[in-house]
Amino acid sequence: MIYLGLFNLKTEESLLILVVPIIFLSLILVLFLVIPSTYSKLDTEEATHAIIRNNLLYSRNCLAYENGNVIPGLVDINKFNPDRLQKCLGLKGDTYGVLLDLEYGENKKNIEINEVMSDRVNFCLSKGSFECSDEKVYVLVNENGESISGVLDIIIVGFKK
Amino acid sequence: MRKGIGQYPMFVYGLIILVLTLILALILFGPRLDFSFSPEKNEGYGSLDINLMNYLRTPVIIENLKFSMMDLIAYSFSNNDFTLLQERTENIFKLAYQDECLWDISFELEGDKKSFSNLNEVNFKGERAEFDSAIAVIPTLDGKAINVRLKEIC
Repeated sequence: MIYLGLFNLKTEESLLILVVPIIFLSLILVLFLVIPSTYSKLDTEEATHAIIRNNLLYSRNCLAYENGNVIPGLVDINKFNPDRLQKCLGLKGDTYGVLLDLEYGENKKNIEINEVMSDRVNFCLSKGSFECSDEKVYVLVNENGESISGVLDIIIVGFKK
Repeated sequence: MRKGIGQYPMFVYGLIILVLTLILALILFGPRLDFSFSPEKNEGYGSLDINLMNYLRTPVIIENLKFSMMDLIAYSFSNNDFTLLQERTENIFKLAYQDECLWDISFELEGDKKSFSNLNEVNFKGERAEFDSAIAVIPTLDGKAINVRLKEIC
């Protein structure tokens, strides 16, 4: 009979008891722990929402007033319509939806951009597959050449990636 | 002794070392591979900059003359009277933040610092402890520079 001194087992037994489980353990470790941990998770949701907000406020094609120069943060009330903003942001289908609530002076206006997604705003409250943001920005609204103080509430609805 | 018998323990040790190496790799590299962007924390263009820019250019009418908040800040420093500035500032940020955020604005001219905030008024329950801030520099009536810093927690 042949024994291994270290483990005090027969060669065949040591193979069965030690080597086979170690191989399986290694495979499980590699498959379920090491390989998944090497996938880098790049969370760009916050950045995407910030880009949408900034486009709205800084771009001449979106809301920014221009009198030769573009004035970021100064909302041109004539540009506050869904068709223009949808074109400016280029949002359609299952990408992002934007809800804008503008309060200035005695006026209150709200619009929805890409209704396919903005209609799903109620799902933001649940811990589902939606990623939403809600930010209020202090704006000046240009109406008939007058600058009026107001607040623009920007709600962005998107899917979790 | 049969040929190759001495190789089995080495094979087992090799496997054990492999497993230990994998565990070590997991500990060292596993938790560090989540990246996320927090653009509000970065320097650049954000909503806070817009809030500050719009605060500075908010129109103010004094004795039928139209000024901006920027003019009022410079005027307050030259007269050393900040009553109207405080009143208008509080009105603007009450509208902008609607008691949902903490805000603090400070004006500094050559070491002379003046600040207003709602830190004592709002019972804030936010989770973040850090203020985000935006800075602007505006000129006084005699060409000096006033540093304006707006801070917020929402």
